[in-house]
Amino acid sequence: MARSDITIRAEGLTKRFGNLVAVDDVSFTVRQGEVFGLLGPNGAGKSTTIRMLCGILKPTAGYAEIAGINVVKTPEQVKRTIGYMSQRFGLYDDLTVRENILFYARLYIGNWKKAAERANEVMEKLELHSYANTTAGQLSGGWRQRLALACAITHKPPVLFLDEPTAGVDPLSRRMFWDILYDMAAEGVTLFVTTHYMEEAERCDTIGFLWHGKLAALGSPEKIKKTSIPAGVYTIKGVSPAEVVNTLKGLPFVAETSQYGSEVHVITNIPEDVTHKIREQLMAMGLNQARVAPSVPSIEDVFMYISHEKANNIKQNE
Amino acid sequence: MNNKQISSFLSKVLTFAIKEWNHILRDRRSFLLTLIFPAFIVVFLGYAVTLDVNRVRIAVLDEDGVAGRQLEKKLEGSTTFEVVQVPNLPEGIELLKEGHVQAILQVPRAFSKNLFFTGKSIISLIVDGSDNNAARIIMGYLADFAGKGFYAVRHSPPRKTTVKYLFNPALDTRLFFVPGIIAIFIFMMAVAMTALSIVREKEQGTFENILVTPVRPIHILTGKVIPYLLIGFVNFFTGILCAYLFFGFHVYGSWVAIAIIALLFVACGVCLGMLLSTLTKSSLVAWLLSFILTFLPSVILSDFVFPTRSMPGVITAVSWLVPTKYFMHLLRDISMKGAPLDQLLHYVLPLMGFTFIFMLVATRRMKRAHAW
Ligand SMILES: Nc1ncnc2c1ncn2[C@@H]1O[C@H](COP(=O)(O)OP(=O)(O)OP(=O)(O)O)[C@@H](O)[C@H]1O
Ligand SMILES: [Mg+2]
Repeated sequence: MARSDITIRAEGLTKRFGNLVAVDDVSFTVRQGEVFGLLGPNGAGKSTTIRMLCGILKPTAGYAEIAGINVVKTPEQVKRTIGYMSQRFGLYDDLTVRENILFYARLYIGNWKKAAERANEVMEKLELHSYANTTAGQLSGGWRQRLALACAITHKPPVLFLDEPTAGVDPLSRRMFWDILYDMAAEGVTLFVTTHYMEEAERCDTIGFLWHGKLAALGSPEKIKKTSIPAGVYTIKGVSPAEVVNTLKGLPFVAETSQYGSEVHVITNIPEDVTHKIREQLMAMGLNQARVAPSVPSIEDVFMYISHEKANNIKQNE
Repeated sequence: MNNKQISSFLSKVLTFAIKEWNHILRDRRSFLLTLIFPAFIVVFLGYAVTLDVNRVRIAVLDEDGVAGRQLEKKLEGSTTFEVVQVPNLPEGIELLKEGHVQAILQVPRAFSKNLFFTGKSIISLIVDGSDNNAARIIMGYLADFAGKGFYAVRHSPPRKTTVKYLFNPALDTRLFFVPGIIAIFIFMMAVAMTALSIVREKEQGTFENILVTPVRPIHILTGKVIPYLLIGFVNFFTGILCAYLFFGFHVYGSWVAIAIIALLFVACGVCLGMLLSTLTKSSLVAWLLSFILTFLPSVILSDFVFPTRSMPGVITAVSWLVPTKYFMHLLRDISMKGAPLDQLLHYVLPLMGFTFIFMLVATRRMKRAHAW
């Protein structure tokens, strides 16, 4: 990987708010055209990380670089390089779609004729033109999301930061939105996305998992799934999930149990195969119909496991 | 700055001004209210609040019997007074306490005799001081009255007391304080509208989006000044027009001077609004701050009706920090006395200073929040 390939670089990025360490010594790199997904529970520090990378929040410590520009030293200079879609979208609800887009286009493009052309181009691209004269407040979630994206890309930024762009949006719109993002990535735009949706995480080239401000896992989804859990993951089907969870929770070899519809995923803390042990336990409780099988961990399993481990470590240290 | 930088600056400023203008026009009802408000306030307050004293009930205790009767007749003939006879002082005091009368005029025994022989005599006036303003006016009226009332008693008047009121010959207090009302409300509106327009962006989360664009605080601030300056300016003249139509307000000085000081004053309010917007993230707080910091000082410390000169020294000093005070004096001096602007620089320059300082501090504070 050539060094010039790297578009975003964070080294030891840290942000403190008083006693709270919102982002704690986070380091990673993102290549050009890559889709980087930052995940983590509420309050993990995702938005704080993005805001530091965008140059609107000064890091307490550490270094950040976008397209070779030192963000910490010269935050003003990255502004033309980046686009930012904030977590709350930040649209002017009383202005029309065109007025919203035109506002940002004109701020970036001094020539108003060109700005208007570019606004039309963006509306065309995101299929917003039929709503051009609708006020933003009247749009539904999916279209609001597109409008927010449109406002962020009027200046064709090579790097795009999207803070939970799909929160509160229906699955079909989310799907279509990701198709747009992939098209942009294919054109060479570097995308930095935060999300709570695991299926979206699976679609990223690289994911980082933030836990209480710390980067607890980093790598491609495949790599993370393979390497993050040193033990096994088992799927149990065919019986009441609640009873399974009750039976297995607290066993010495079980690290974490979680329920997915009618299935239960069990993460162990020993590398040996425990399929038969689990079956025995369930039979002892009369759950004879249980089908137990080792399985490949999902991203969600990995994050459950990491959260569990981290919480345990903290408890032990105390 | 070269041409390219200037055009880039103008483009950003105008982008903000146009966007702001769109917000204002989109909310038709608020916009109309904004335009009508000054007219409403001027007419409503102008008619409701008056400092003129009308139909003052006064008790006359006539111990003399001769001059007293004459004075009484005179008083009854005027529309200002309504006379009640009392037989003795304690009864008069009782009426005063109960608020049935506002003053007692006591004409002592041998009043006319003394006046006839010595040319001097004493009458006493007891005024209800709880309405300080009314008391002062009653005293003024009666002093004037007593002087004239006794021409008939003596053949030639002893000494003529003449008071001539310059600048507001009819002594119509409305003409005195209607412009003050306009000043107070224009200022408050300019401050509140500007502060809210910026704080709203913080609340909506649009401010965060603006921060990542290549605009600087100066673009945002200048862009927002333009529409609110325009509205404040129009509001001022709506108010003045109403004062003219309803109360016969007249400008003796130059209209250009009035326009210049109005523009300066509104600019001062807009800049103060910006400064306030950097202190809070909540619309409610912004509104309260605007109200408390503009309305109360403007009413109390601007010589609107309460003369700051007669306040304790510290408060007089503080009153010089109230921009409305400068404007109040400018407006009165130009409209009533016809004073030219170059003689009023001691009011104009501080107002300019305030405007500049507010703008500077607002930009500074926003810059700190903006980058780092
Ligand atoms: N300006 C601030 N002042 C003080 N604390 C802050 C500030 N901004 C964020 N925090 C705190 O920092 C922590 C991380 O916040 P952040 O918004 O980065 O989380 P997040 O991962 O984006 O969460 P979410 O999924 O809810 O958006 C939280 O505990 C939050 O309360
Ligand atoms: Mg967030």
